[in-house]
Amino acid sequence: MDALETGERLSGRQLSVAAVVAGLSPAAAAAGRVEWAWLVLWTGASVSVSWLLLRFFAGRHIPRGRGRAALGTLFGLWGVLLAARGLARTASRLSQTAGEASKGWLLLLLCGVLVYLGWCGDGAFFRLTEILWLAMAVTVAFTAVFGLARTEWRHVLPVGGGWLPAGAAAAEIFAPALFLLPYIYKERTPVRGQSAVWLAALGGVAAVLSLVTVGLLGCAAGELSQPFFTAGGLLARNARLEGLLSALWLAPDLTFAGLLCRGFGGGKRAAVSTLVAGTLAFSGVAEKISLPVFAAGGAVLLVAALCLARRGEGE
Amino acid sequence: MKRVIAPMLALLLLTGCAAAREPDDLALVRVLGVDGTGPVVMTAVCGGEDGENALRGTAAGEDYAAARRSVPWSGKGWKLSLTGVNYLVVGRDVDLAALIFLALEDPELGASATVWRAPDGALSLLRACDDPTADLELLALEGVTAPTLAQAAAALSGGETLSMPALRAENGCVREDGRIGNR
Repeated sequence: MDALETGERLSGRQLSVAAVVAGLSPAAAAAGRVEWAWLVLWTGASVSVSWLLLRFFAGRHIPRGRGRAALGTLFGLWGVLLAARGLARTASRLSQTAGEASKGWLLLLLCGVLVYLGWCGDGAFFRLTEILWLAMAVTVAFTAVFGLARTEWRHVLPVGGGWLPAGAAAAEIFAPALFLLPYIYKERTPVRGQSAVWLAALGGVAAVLSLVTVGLLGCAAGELSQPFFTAGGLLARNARLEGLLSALWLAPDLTFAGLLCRGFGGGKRAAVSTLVAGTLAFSGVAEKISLPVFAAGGAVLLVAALCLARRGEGE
Repeated sequence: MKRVIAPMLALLLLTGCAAAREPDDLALVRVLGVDGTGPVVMTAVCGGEDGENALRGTAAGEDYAAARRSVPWSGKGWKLSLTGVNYLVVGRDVDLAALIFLALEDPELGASATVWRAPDGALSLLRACDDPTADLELLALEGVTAPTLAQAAAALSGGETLSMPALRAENGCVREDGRIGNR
């Protein structure tokens, strides 16, 4: 069994829910930094491309050989780098309240949890994401309702900003969906329509989070390190909610990193991937790689997969 | 099921309880005054309770970060916490934009704290008044509007004019003295 196949079949809903929960992590990081309207457009483009890819890969497989081995290795490495970026971002956010010296300790704790999750079977991991989805659905709904009620629309309109930064952010938001390919490989039931709806919902949520952040903070959102969570402090009139939001958003952060660290497979491989990602996060290597480079890497993986795919169900 | 519960319980390790401060040991700062850009002098005022005088603390540093590191200060056996700051009084010689963004990035200060100006200095104003917290609350109730940190940051980033109420000390009380813009 190589990186591009797993032992368990999962339902389309489980796969879609995992992609949505994981995608909320980069969505919160991008909120306020990119234009919400461009995110909506990129969502449309990403969902369309995803639908076409799923349609293309239905009835096709990637034959075993050097090409598949190379693609699997690149797939895993790209995932580890992206997971390292996510871990560094999470630890940085948490260490702001705990003190800069605690970043290494926080990374150790995050990796400890992820190693444990990685050791679990795929079924256990995806069942966990279904539970986390329920918590995040309530959190996102609350944020959207109270955020939109307090939004100053003069900050939100007219729309400006560049489309490329939004594109790079959208690539990171939808990257977890790419990591579901090994599981989709084993999925017999067509998931195209269902996946498209879930991914569209994810893109819509990302756009709303960005809109709310800009609506509450205006142009200042782009100059803060954690604009979405700073804006969270303005949701309630008499309560400080940014700490609670930051804590709840650990669920998507862990799902994001956990899913990406399964690029080489589950069990020991996921545990080793997690430790490598944690080391890269601690050293700061992943943060030095810009988001457009990650987006380009994902595009290269997709093109490589398209080129290597052959008709037939395979092994 | 235990494989799901165990990692969720492990998340409790990330709550930061190891560095928790007991509420009984804390005095919540309600008014924070800032003077200067380098060196920076910060003046904290806690609301007085049951006839007690307002608790005050002062810290200085080369810059905002250095002065901030002096918190929690100790005053009369309590540690001062900035989580309850409602009023940020900006005094003399302050880089307003830099201060606003530093305050927004501060994990204790909230984005909903309001911004007021003290042209004659925050330290002198807060020391000259008996209960600045009650006076500022009264001004807010009387309809004197002050921008929040978030509104101030949005206006400064957007190139808009920011209007803040100016304060002065009169007979031991804080009074409004017109409005000041950032330009």
